[in-house]
Amino acid sequence: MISDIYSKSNEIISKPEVRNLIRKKLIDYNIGLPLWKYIFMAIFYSFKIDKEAASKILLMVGPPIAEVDPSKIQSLFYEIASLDENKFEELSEWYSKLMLDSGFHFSVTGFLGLMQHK
Amino acid sequence: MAEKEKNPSQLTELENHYVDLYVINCAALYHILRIKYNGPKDIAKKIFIKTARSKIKMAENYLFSYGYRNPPAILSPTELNKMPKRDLGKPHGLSDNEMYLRPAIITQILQELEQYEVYHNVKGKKELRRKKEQDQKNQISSANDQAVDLQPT
Repeated sequence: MISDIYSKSNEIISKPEVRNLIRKKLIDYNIGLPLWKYIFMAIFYSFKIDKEAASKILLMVGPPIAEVDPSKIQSLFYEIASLDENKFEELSEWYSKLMLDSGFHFSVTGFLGLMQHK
Repeated sequence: MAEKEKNPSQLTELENHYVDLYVINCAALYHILRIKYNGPKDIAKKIFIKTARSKIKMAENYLFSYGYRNPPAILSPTELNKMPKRDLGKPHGLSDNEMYLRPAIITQILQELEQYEVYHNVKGKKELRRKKEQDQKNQISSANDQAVDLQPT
């Protein structure tokens, strides 16, 4: 059975005031942007190395949220991967800001934690 | 009625604990990625691509995310084997009657995920019945809480 251990933390982390404070601290302590910049760069390199394999990573995060079209996301990553590697840093920074502002990182952080553990 | 959004200074001790936990986890993740790997390209090769090329690792990460995101529920290993097939099966070109992974491998993965406390193994009919009853009670109680929450003041 699915344990209830993460339900409580998910419930608390879903509260807007909690999310706002997390966002503020991630920015104030200069953790959020460098972390996500690093991860985005790794994702862009993955698409550069093996487009097909890297696309599966997007599926692994689970069913996408309703307003996100997975094929559009995939095309976007294909497009970025076709760019010169020296563009990755700038684009990663831009996407990291978007990630933090939209709060989307709350959906994928647990998954990334396990991935790095492996 | 829905709770009014609190000011950060009004957060409870538990809420503040989760804020700090989240921030600390992000810092730890960043630190580990920096010291364990030789830059983002190395992470791409050793984590992302390596995982994506392994059906077992894909199922493991998928089931971790699934358990992490969803509320407590009782699911059989067969049901849990169907989910990665539904969401990850297509790229591997599986036919309709093929399982995503052999049952023994799914069991192995679930045993590993038990270590992260994402899943609990429910053994025996008696225990299963008890958990199901508890699960139903929790659902009713949660539905009642929501109904009270929606009452106009």
